[in-house]
Amino acid sequence: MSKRKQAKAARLMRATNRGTSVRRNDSSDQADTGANKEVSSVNAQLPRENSDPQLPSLAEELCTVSTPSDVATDALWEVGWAAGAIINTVREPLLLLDASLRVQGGNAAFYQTFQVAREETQDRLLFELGNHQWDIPRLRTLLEERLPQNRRISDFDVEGEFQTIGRRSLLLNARVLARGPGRSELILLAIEDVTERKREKDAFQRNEARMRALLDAMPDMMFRISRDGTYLDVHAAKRSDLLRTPGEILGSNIRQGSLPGEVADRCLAAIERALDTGTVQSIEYAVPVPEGVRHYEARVITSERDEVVAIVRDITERKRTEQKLRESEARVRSILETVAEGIVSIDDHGTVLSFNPAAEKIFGYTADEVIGRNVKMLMPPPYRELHDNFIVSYLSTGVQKVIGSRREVVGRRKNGTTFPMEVGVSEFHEGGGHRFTGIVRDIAERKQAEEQVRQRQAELAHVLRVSTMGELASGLAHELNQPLSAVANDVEACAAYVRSGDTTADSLLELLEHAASEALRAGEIVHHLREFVEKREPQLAVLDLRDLVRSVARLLEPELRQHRITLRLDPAPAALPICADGVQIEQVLVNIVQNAIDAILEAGGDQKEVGVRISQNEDGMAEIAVHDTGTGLSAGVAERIYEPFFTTKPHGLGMGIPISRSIIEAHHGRLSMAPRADGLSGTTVRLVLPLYTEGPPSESIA
Amino acid sequence: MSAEPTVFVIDDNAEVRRSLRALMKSAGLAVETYASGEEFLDGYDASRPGCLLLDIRLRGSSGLDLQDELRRRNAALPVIVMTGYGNVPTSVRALRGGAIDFLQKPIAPKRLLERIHEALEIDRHAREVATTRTAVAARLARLTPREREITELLVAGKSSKEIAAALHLSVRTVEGHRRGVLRKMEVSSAAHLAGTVLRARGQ
Repeated sequence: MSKRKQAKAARLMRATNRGTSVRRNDSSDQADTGANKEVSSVNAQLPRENSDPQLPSLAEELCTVSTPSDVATDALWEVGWAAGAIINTVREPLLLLDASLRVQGGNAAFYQTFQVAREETQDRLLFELGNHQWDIPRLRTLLEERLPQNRRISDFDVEGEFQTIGRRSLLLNARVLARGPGRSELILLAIEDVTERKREKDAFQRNEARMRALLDAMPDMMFRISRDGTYLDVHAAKRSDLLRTPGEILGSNIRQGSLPGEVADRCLAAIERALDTGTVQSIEYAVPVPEGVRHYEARVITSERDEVVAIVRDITERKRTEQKLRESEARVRSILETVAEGIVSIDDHGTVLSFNPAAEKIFGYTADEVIGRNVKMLMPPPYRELHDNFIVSYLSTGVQKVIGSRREVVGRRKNGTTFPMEVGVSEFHEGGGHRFTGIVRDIAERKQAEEQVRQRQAELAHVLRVSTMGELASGLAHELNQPLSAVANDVEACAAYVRSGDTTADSLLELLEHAASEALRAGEIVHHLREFVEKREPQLAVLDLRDLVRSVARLLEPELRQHRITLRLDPAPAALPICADGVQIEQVLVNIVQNAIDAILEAGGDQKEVGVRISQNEDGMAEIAVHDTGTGLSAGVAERIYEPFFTTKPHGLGMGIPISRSIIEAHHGRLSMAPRADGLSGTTVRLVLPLYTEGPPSESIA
Repeated sequence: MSAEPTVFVIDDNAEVRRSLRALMKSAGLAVETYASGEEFLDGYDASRPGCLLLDIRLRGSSGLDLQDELRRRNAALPVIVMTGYGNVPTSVRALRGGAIDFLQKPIAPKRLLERIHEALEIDRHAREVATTRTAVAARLARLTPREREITELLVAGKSSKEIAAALHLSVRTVEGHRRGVLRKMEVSSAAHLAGTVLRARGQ
């Protein structure tokens, strides 16, 4: 609830409580009745005669009623005169009727109130007066039934519609007056107009009901408390909100209740201040309860002299939420201060808003040196110059280049050195503006580690290549023996011709040229082998994947031929450029095809075919799918196939697939194996590599 | 022998074929080269003498299969198997299939030529034996049953006296048959007869 609303409620409360006190303590009804009694008693002393010419008879009648005995005539007259004066002075209309309910007279107030003339009423039947406006069923009940029995009726309420003064609520006191012997009885009707009072009362009751409803709907507890701390009144929408029952609370003192002494002291002090200054006093306090501690907020307002109203609200939940918020803020702060990542937040102009300790460590600047300055000071050219444009372009187009992703960029330390870092940027809104938070990680060390991993991998890959070479040896030996045989034959032929002398220089020359070119071909094979087996640094180059496959096909051709296995190449129509270490990719392909060959030989079927399909797949990646007609992967093998040192071959190392996989993953690709999809027995090995796209990658911090 | 002995080379490597052709020619040998066993079989006449120089690992049917096919055709051409890689099972199979030699590439040309000359000699000899066998069989066909009976005993080294006793004939009658046999078999003596017949029988 807002303060304004609280204040309003307080005002309402004050009004209501005053009203309540009026209703509860003001015995106006009784007072009215009392007044009537007084009138009656006064009436009883009315003088026999009246100076007012309109009243003597009435006064006389009354006096006659009141004083049946013989009293001194003068005194009587005096009394009668006084009574007449009183009768005509009281505001309450009085009417005197005879036994047949004919009007015998009325006082000034009567004629004035009902705005009728004495002549119009005299000796007329009451019910016929003024167009039967007095013919009210309840009035008939009073006069015809109740009065004859009881002779005296008090506070009989009647409502009637009167021509001159409209609808009225009347409170009637009626009394049968006995006169002396022989004289008929008279009826005195004292008519009090309570219309206004009743209206006020109804309005008050309606208001009261509304206030009650309002109070009941409010979650707050309310107490009326005297200056000394005594509870005078209590209200709570829910009983359970109170620490004690209303019965226990009412009349007790704050000091005797369930509030701790210190709290009671503060409450009393607040009450004092509220009373002394006339201002609203607000205090918060905690009370231990069996379930823990409950927190309250009390607003203390002066309601009456030496009395206050205290509106008390249970703020335990709010306190708990505040506490949680504080804790979470503290956690966030501690995270910001302890994480290894630098955290830098900027506004939409690039101005640094925060700079955590890790960022200080990474960049070498203290937070003070950076906060308030543009974040581009943390970037080397050319990013430094471009950064403002990045923000502007993002804000105007909403195209996210960096937001939400992590990327590697170059950062600049205070000492001017640059370093590789990984940045993730997230966006948030604060005060109507864009804010960006960059999470910065110094990856110089990681880069170094990655480099080491690459070295290890290259070494492993080399070991594997050497062992692969062993497996390839017999096929390669044949490959090498062909040209060597040709050379030997050609040279021997030359020798034979020279020995016999039966030859020409031309025919010898032709043979020698053949021999030379065959020798070179043998050299090429050796060179290629050496390149494959050589221990070397990884070298990235842009290569056509199809060329690598063709080169591998040549390398494995003898092996395939030896086992009479057909290699079916299905190359893509267009070049598939990849950025890769050619030898390593070749090695992976050799490994895959060699596994295919082994599987085919193990299966021993008639169909011996390795299919190699090169294509660009749906994801825009370069893909090589190698199908074989081998035994296929059994469940047990499929599960363990990527495990190092797992092998199904008698002399296998069990490193081929794990190393192949790590090589491919280092090239940001994937290596997977699955049973052939076309229903034939055998396995499909799929090797996916990202296509190389031209142009330098655009990078920035934001 | 009407036709000149020829070295038939079957190898799927063109350069190897070319160099082998050059080597054979330099040695004065007739040579024909083929890229596959099928190509060779298509035009081969079993009557042509010579030898086969075969790379065991051919496209299509392998060299070993070719040997089987040649045997089925009764083409008794001596075969020299060459291979770029040798292992025990393939060499055993090659030799069982009738190969006279199993050589691993690269083969020293001089050695290869030696082996080819040997193979050609084997072929020549085999063809000679085959020719003799045919002639002897024809002469044997001309003998009477009694003369054939006496021939067997003569080849077994029996004297006329022993034959007469065994066959319950007079020595004189045996001598008469003996003269007829020697005349019909176109030999000059019993020893000559035994040599001819045994040789024809491959003993």
